[in-house]
Amino acid sequence: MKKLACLLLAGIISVSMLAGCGSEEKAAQNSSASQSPASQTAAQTSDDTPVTVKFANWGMSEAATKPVFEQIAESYKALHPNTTIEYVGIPYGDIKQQTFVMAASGNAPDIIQTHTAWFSTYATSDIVEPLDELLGKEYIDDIIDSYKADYTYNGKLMGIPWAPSPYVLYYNKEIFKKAGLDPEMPPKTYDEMLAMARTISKVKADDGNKIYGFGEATDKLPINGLVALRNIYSFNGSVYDKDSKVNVNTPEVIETLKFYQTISNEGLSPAGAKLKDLRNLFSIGQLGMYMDGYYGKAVFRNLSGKGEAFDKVWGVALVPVNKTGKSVSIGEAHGLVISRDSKVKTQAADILKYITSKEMITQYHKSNDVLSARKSLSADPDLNDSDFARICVEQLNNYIQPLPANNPGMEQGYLEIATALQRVTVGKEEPAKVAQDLDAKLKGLLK
Amino acid sequence: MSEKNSTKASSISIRQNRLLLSNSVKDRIFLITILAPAFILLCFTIFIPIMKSVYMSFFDITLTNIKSAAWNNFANYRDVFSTGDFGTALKNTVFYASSVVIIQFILSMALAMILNMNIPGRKLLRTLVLIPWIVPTIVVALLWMWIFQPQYGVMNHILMGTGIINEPKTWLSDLKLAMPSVMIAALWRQLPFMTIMLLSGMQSIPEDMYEAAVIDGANKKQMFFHITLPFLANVIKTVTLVAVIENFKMFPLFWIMTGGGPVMATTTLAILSYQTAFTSLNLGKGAAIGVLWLLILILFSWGYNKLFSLRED
Amino acid sequence: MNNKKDYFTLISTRVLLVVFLIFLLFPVYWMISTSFKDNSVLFKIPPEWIPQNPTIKNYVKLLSENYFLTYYKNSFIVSGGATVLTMFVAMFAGYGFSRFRFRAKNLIMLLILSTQMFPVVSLLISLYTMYKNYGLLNNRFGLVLAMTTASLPFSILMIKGFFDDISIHLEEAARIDGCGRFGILWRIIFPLAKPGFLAVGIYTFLLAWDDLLYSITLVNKDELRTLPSGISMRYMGEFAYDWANVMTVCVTATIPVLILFMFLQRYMVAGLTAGAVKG
Repeated sequence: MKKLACLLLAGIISVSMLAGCGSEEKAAQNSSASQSPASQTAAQTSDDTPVTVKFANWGMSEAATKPVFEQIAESYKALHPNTTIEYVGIPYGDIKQQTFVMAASGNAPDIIQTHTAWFSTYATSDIVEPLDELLGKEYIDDIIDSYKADYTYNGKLMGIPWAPSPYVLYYNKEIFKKAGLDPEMPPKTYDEMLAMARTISKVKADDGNKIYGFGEATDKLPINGLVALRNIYSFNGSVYDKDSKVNVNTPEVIETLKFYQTISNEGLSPAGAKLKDLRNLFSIGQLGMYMDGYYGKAVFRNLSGKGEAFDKVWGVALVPVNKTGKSVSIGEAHGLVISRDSKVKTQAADILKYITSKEMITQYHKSNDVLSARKSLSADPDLNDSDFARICVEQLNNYIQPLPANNPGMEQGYLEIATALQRVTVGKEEPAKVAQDLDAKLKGLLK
Repeated sequence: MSEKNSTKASSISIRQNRLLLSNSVKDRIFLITILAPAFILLCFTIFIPIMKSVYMSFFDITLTNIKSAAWNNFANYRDVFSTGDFGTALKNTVFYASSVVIIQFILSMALAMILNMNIPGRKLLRTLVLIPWIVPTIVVALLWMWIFQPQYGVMNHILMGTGIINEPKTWLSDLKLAMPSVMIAALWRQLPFMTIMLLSGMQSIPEDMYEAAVIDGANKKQMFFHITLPFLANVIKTVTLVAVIENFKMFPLFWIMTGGGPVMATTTLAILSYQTAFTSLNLGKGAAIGVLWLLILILFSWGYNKLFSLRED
Repeated sequence: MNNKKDYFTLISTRVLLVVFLIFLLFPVYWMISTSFKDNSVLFKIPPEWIPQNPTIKNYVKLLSENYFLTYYKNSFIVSGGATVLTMFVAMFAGYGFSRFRFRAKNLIMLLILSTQMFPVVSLLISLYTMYKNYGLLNNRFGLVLAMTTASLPFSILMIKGFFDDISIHLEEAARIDGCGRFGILWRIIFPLAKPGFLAVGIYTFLLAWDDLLYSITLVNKDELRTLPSGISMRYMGEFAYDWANVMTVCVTATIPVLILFMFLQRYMVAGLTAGAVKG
């Protein structure tokens, strides 16, 4: 009896405690929900009514980007005391699914941070608002052309690129030296790169471990399909042909698949690696070359445990030239979108402009090396303050090819491309057959 | 009234000692009162969403057209079967769930028997053994992913060092090794719970049964099969059913460790369901997969019940 | 008994035990060892079995930032609340299923079990909408409710199993003595089914402790986050997994729960050996 009484008591206490917490949260929610009477006409910015703009993102809790987000919120508040940016934190791996779930319930956040690999899903859905009128022609014309294309759907701009990143070539100078290669002469062509990779693979690290010459990610994730496009483009291939029809059953794509098969079979690339693995391997000196975004620098510092001292160990270069005669890369970015159901679109648009303004981007650049997707800032000295930055900017502005047009089936399409990579590397299947199957799949997906 | 019935029911067999047949109103009210909370809770928090999902499976509804869905009969179901993906995923899931549960059962039984013995420090051991179960599944996934990592993971290092293998294996990217690797991680985490459940079952077996058997000249094997197992029958049935269904649903291990790859080697129904709904964006088809899943498991439970007569007489 | 056979059993038992312990505990050791390492030595091969330059800076960082304690507290509250609620609801429902025969009993049991047989992933949108309509988003009680529904079906099944093993004679004797139904429950049945409650309690607690999907879907305010959701948010980033910190969080989170279980362990053993369950 006594035990049960205790149990009951505990139960009642916990329930009431939780109910108490519950009502706190409910009250807070209600008060912020009742505060969004902002007008929706694009022309005015109503600054007088207190407004909360909800911004869903994954960066606010990660150590590297937390200060950036805090700073954005604080400085914006200082400029617009009546507008509060409220962050809604969702882990990177879940944010797409969660924001769609929220939108389906009518509870979508006003601004959402997205990634290029799944931007198509947002762009082609009915939960995102076109930004042409909200941002104005001047702002939109200022976006780098390839990015403007990547973020457009049906002629309308559906999101803006934030912290854009080209893929550039990272190479480990110390490994180069060890393999007898000139550390100041990164490869300029794919053939050179392959030859150097082979040379590097013959060398072992100081602790006797294998060194990989050149790594590509082949894990089953949409982003790896996206990244594979960089190689496909460099071999002069594409997803759509000249008549805008899907066709990947082409010699160029087959050659790309052969390339992946070669680097895997010859042991130049670690098998089944994720991009995260490649970063780890590069940071511990077991990978000679690979391609990644600007964020590599900060990631290496952290993963190697050596901090700034590690910067000297590697160098960066433009993507080597392949069959197209020029360096070609793809651009990814954290696309920012505004929800169609948002009641504070004007304020949200203003925040988007603020986040991508010179001042904010420069600060973000200082702390995290980000670049800008705005043409007007491409020659800005603050953003070109190091060799590293200059090369990234050059790749970004001059040597990027637009991605395939946004399409509801594109994310799944990227996943199919990644699977095709697995089939030729781990599965050791015939590239011609795999290309044929991929073609059939993509034709079905990208209607 | 209940006396007569309970006399009938009071035979020595364990299974038949608990039926109370009663028609009095008071008893009816009592029954409804004690069943109601569970019912209401489940109805309002999960049963309704399941019904909604079943409903949704008959619509052409995707993530990109949530507001304008159209009824499309069984098209989603036809779609599900049109590629071999559902069959592959089902095969993978069944293989995974059954293997993990069977292996787990054998290992747990062995470990539980050992822990049931009078070995020194057994209380401490029983607590230590529970540790893997306390580690959150996402951390288990990360931990084992790291252990299995081909280039800097500890598994390859140990196996090569002891000469068991010659070259590093790409555990999670190998078409044949990926599934076993994930299974090892699952076993690691799930072994403790089944062991502790079996152990507590074992500890409620009265000592005198064993003593009597010893006097009668039974050996260890006979004691196990004729005393231990029957006594544990209920616990075993429940715990293995739980294990099968929980493993059928397993998502984080596969998602984080392999993403369903390489190719389709570790794509289970859970992964397929997620990918269909959130990467292919087809909510209707994803719901259809969920419904098929439900039917399969219901069939399985029904069959399981029949097989092990969990049912009431 | 045959001495040689006994000896063989003894040795093989011990060996088997050691093998099990290595399998179960080596990764735990690896977790602990990693938490004391610095990033620069994390991926070394051959690995540092014992950290050469152990550092506690991961722990210092973890404990000095208050979000960890917040996540931990939330996990405890939600898991504890779910355990209490589940035990409460399951003990009644389990008794009903165990002791009563009524029409559609099997059907109802199957229905209840079937709620656990639908992939939660397919339910996300409906679940989110429903919790939103109840006003239970970003709310610990909402999570408690969700966890309870996740563990209730099997908890009922498990408790029923334990009740089934309790002889009905005791209840009949109590009825004869004039005890009411509820009285029987409190005074006789529940005390005897303690191991069952413990089993259900442990199962529910750990199920709730482990949950990721519900936590991410129903809560996105940092101060209400639970541990797995917090780990995913902070350490499983876009560019890299923060191994050392993940392991540190894990070790720190595991120890108190372990101590709790060590406590319960004694209680479990005492409860089992004290009263005879068989009538």
